[in-house]
Amino acid sequence: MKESEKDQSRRKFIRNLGALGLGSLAFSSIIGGSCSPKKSELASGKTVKLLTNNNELVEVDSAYISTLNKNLSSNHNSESRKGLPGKKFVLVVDLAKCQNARKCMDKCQSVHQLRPDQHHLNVLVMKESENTAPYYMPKQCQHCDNPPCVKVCPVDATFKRSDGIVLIDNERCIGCRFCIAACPYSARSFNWYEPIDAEKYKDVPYDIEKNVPQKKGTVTKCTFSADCLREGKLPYCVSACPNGVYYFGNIYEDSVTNGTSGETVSFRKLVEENGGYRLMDDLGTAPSVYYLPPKNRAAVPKEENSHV
Amino acid sequence: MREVYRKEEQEQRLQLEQIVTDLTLPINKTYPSFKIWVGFLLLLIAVGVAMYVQQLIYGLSVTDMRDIASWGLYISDFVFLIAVSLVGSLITAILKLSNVKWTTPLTRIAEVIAVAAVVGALTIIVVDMGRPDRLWHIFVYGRIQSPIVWDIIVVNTYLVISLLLLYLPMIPDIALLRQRMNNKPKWQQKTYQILSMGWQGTDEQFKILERSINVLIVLIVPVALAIHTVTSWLFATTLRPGWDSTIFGPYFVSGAFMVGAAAVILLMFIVRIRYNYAKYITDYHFDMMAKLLVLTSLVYLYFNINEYLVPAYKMKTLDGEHINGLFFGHFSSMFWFVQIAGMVIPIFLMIFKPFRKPKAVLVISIFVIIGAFLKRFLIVTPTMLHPFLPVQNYPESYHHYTPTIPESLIVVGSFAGVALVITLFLKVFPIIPIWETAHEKGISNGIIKNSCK
Amino acid sequence: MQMRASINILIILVCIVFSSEIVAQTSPWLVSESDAAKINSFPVTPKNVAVGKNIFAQSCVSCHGSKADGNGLMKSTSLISAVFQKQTDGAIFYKLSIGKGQMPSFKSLKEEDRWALVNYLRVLVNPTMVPAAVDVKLDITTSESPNSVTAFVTASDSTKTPIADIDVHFYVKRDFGMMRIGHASNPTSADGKVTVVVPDDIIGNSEGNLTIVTKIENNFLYNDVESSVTKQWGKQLATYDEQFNQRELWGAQDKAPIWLLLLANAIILGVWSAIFYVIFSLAKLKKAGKIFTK
Repeated sequence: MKESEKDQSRRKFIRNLGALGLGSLAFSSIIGGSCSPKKSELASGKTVKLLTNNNELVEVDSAYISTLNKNLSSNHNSESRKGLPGKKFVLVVDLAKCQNARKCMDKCQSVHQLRPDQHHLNVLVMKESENTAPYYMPKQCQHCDNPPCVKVCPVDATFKRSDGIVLIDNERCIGCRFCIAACPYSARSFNWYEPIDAEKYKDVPYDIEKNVPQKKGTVTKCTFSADCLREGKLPYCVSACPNGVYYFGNIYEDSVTNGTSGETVSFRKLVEENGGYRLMDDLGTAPSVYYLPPKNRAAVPKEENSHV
Repeated sequence: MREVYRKEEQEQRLQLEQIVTDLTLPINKTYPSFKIWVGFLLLLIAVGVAMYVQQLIYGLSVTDMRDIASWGLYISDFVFLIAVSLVGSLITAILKLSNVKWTTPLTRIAEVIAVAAVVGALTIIVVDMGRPDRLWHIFVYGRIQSPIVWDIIVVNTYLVISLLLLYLPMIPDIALLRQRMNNKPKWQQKTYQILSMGWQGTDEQFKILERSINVLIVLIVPVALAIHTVTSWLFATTLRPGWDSTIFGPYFVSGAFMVGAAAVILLMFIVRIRYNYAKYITDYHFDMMAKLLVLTSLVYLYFNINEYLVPAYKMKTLDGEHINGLFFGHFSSMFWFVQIAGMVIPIFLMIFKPFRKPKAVLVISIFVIIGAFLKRFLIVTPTMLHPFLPVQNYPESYHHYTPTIPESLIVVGSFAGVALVITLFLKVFPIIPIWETAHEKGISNGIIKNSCK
Repeated sequence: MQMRASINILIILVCIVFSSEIVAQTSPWLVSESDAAKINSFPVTPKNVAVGKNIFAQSCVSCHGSKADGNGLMKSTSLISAVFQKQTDGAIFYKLSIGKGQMPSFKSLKEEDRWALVNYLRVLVNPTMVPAAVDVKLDITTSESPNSVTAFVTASDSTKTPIADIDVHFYVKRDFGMMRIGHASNPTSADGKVTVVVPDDIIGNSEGNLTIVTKIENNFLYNDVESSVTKQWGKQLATYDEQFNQRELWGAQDKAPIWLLLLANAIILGVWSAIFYVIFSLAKLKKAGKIFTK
């Protein structure tokens, strides 16, 4: 009895192994060469829409894609809740360099399929008091280590990973918007409308690290471009900046890399030498975003005043 | 001697008959205006449901809420209804525990308002959700760290206790109805049959019932305080100026007692006029309720002074902006209406006896209720519109919040729903406790017991 | 026919008006005569052109693009267009020093370096101003106490002649790029060698390994070449992942603080057992009634 059970489980294991092997075979056929005749024989005629890394929508025959979906997509998302090992990401924003080019904002909105009035990243004109000069301040989610938004989420939809990133799972979110109320940085946005191009992205599997495709009735937020980080690339906004405002890196490694010049420096020294600070640190949120003071405010037109 | 005793018994029996006839009047007699009223409520509910369907299709974009004011009228309505529901515990529990006798004809009015308002609150909070289809996520993925989860637990607990507290004292009355309402449709008779729990009025049954009610009365006080305290924590646990306050719990609770008392007065008045209950709900009751309203309003006034004057004295930048907006800015007319017409003037007027007459108290209560609703709006909206960081790169409309027609109609529908629950209750159960009223009039238990069989 | 002709004229007129407006919008950047006439006293040498190239790679590429054709991260002036190159050295020097609109000021650079940048911009359209680059060989040796890396540059042919005065860059590999160690410029000495001390406070991987990369790059005389070595010279990478697995108020569902769990469950249990007691009493109530009717 026991013997046969063992046998059965072994057979099962072998069968699974076989499936795995077949799976990886199909997988490699996608990764490999472009259009060998063998593949067109396999084609099922059904196509599936996929979003590429370059944010382009492509249609692929479902025969090539099914295994990939099964083995990566769901697994990928549960993996996404853990965070990258050995990393704790940090962003340094050099306010002295920001000239309001807004390339970061544009890139962010297009990558995350946001409407023009939705901001994961917002460049603000700040003016502390009457006699101080205004300056530009790019503001994204601060990825706090004591995140008020995560505290209040009733369903674990928004969560903090070990690498410091605060993400939102828009397949979990119930749309109560408590996190928006709780965030002192106004960093979150809600899908009040049907997201743009909802029809186009309808069949695209959800990527939690990019939070696309967006879903109506859920909250969306800056992801620190976790999808890029997984590939070892800098976040979208960081590499879109033409003015060298952003430094991004791993605080454990004490290094940050400028998204514009590619220059890599010690995080500690950069913050120490330039008097870096965190936004509203007195609230106890412990942000992962540091700001270097806006030393040079001459670039800001004086009429661009904000209400403070 | 025996003659006298029999005569007295006969008198009591007649008196009981009169009470039963009076208090079952709403069940027995359907006025045409009742049908119109129910029809009107159903219409309002239907409109609200239609608007909600529209919201389901187009998303919350049908409201005027956006990324800055991301909470609005729905949350205000929720807080308002939770506040109203608190009165159940005030009248039936707190006053009873303090041995107040005059509340007997009002307990059921208070308790039915409580149940209806909680049902309304639970409905409107689902309406506020972006993904109501994922409501089950709360039960599967619920995080105990979130004040929303606390609120869900405590509001549902309160609903159960309120239902029990509405039902248990009503069991002897239901037993009476079981005997008397033979002309009613089958389902209604069956309902009485089941709900009467085989009540025979034995001493043991009285003992069990009394003990159970006492447990509930003690239990509902902390739970009632908890529901409104936790509801206030939905705001107070955030860092936002205007919400970041330590007195929000008692501040909300005292405000809730005030609006709840006003709501009871409103329903008392309607019941008294509609069914000629001046004998049961007397001027004395209005006088006492008005005094209770003064008391609760004074407590609320005290918390208001704390909540607004202390930050106004310090004028921290962001608090100052919030206070300025309320005192002199965009919200000032609403704010001063709420404070003066909804609180200060009512307190002042009701100090004088003529203003504690039913009609005067009714008008004052309506002002208090309107003020209380606007007050909840003023707690939610101005704070949402003034976050820590400047509001920029958004359309101009994001700087304001004016509820749209669909969301207003949904809220109106929620009120209609609350009113409908109360109305239907009136049609099936006696709104004034029969047994307790008879007991208070000195009719002996034996006679009441016999009429139950 | 006439109608059509007049429309054509109208269109042409409109075009002229509009184009003149466009010209007006991108109004010419006027440089005073004295500034424009400033003489560039630094001749084009492979060395200062290399300095210029370095600056260009760091500060200009983002907007003007790697080809300097104005197609960087944002649309900007083409620096290789005839219109641009027509300007005097002095005018270009003035403009990059002062800046205008989106073009930042580079006054912070040394005057010498700014001229070097001007020289580099000239070489861009006229590469023959400097000799063609040749291949070299780059070897690394390491020594300890203090930890240091020595780059040894020789000619790539069989002669293996050491090459002096060639700028070598030293880096440590990081997650998102290369962190420079040593100076901005580390020229080899007569024996073709240059040594850089590796600071001892750099954080390596979990074993403390550092990958040190030496490069010859952006040099006009020599083609790019790089060489790397891995040494256990860094501090060990310390992570605090466990901090994110603790029970916290912001933790996940299964990471709720114990005190909160106890408190919440105790309250729920207490209240609901009282409720169940009442419901149980109701059953007793019914039973009591039944006994009576029997």
